[in-house]
Amino acid sequence: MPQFSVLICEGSYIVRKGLVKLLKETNKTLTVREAADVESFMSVLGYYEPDIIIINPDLFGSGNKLIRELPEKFRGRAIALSSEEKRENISLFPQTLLYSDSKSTILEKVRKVYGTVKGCRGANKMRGTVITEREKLIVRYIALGLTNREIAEKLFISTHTVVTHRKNITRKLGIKTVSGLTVYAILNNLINIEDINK
Amino acid sequence: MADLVHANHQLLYVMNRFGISLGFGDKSVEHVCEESGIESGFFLEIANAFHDEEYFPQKQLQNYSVSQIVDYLKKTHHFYLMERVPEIEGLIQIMISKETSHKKSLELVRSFFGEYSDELSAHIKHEDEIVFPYALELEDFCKRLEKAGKPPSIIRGYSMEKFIEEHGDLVEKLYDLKNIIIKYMPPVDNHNLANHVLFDLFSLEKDVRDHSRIEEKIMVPKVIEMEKLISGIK
Repeated sequence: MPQFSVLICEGSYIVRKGLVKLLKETNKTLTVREAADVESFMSVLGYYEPDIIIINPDLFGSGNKLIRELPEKFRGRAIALSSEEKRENISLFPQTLLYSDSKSTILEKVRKVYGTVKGCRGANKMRGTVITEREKLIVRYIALGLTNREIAEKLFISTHTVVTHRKNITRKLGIKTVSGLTVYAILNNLINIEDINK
Repeated sequence: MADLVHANHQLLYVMNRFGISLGFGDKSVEHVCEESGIESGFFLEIANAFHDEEYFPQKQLQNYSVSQIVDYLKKTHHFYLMERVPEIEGLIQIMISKETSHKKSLELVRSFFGEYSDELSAHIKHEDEIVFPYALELEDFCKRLEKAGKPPSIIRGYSMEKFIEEHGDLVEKLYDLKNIIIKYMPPVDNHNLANHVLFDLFSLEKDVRDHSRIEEKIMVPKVIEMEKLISGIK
């Protein structure tokens, strides 16, 4: 199970904590960040990129632009949290958790959204961590100390694509730093130690 | 006090840094702190921030001096460099010496951890030599201000804003190292040692994370407050 992260924005302490507890119960590796108001929510988003956001649209007030932008920005990954079903502002969200929902309903809804997250991440999750041949090549280049631009030039792709590949690699392997990837590359015979010192 | 340790044994680290020794019987937190010459309120503040990720000290914050906070943070730094890191290095070294078939892979782990420890030392050096003196100077200045009301002299070119910007993620490499050992290492001879190393890494990672949080939630707001005060006078 890869690490999976959620950001919850909800004003009610009890509801927020309850939801955190419920989600953590079923997935121990889950990381949850919380925000009680829009301001702290935005500041968390400034440095943190969650897989899924769960927000109570009521916090944003009716005329707030953000509430329309967020579901767009997070595409299928934004969930609304609401005290009642008949609210206009939740219609933009692909999924809504209601205060009255049972535990299993909530989990099912979150899982559905998580499913799409996993889907668009495209990895071979079921077969364990497998990185593609292309990704292996990129790990090799990273370990050899090439910059994104140099890798892009070698492979005739854009640097943007290289960045995407790197994100996927980091997510699949659970290794974030260049030196970590270098160790991985050596352990998996993608490169030799001698290559690095060239 | 004993209840605290039972509730979260990671707090033992905090106690060590305050110079509290074990064997306190059934004495209360207040009592133990008093005996060790520590302000119990400050101890609790740190313990809470360490224990609960969501804990955010607010009003109480103003009561403690920067020098108290810095003193604690410095002790933590010292502990990392003098105890934790050498301990883990030692374990890896023993693993290497006992390993028969995968020595090379373990050497990689050792050098990777070496890189981490260099990174950590550099980070700590920066804080000890620039950030903390800056905070202390600011406090000293504020104190004199209250007494004499003199106009501010020039405070060295640093600011907490800069600190927040620079305060990078110190646990990334630890995270990588854990995954390398858990997922990608060839099977080593001594499982128990490998477990020890992993337990230590998990615990160091948590400790460093909690430590950074204390810096960000207790020291930073306090210093920013002083910065505002001073810029208000100018």
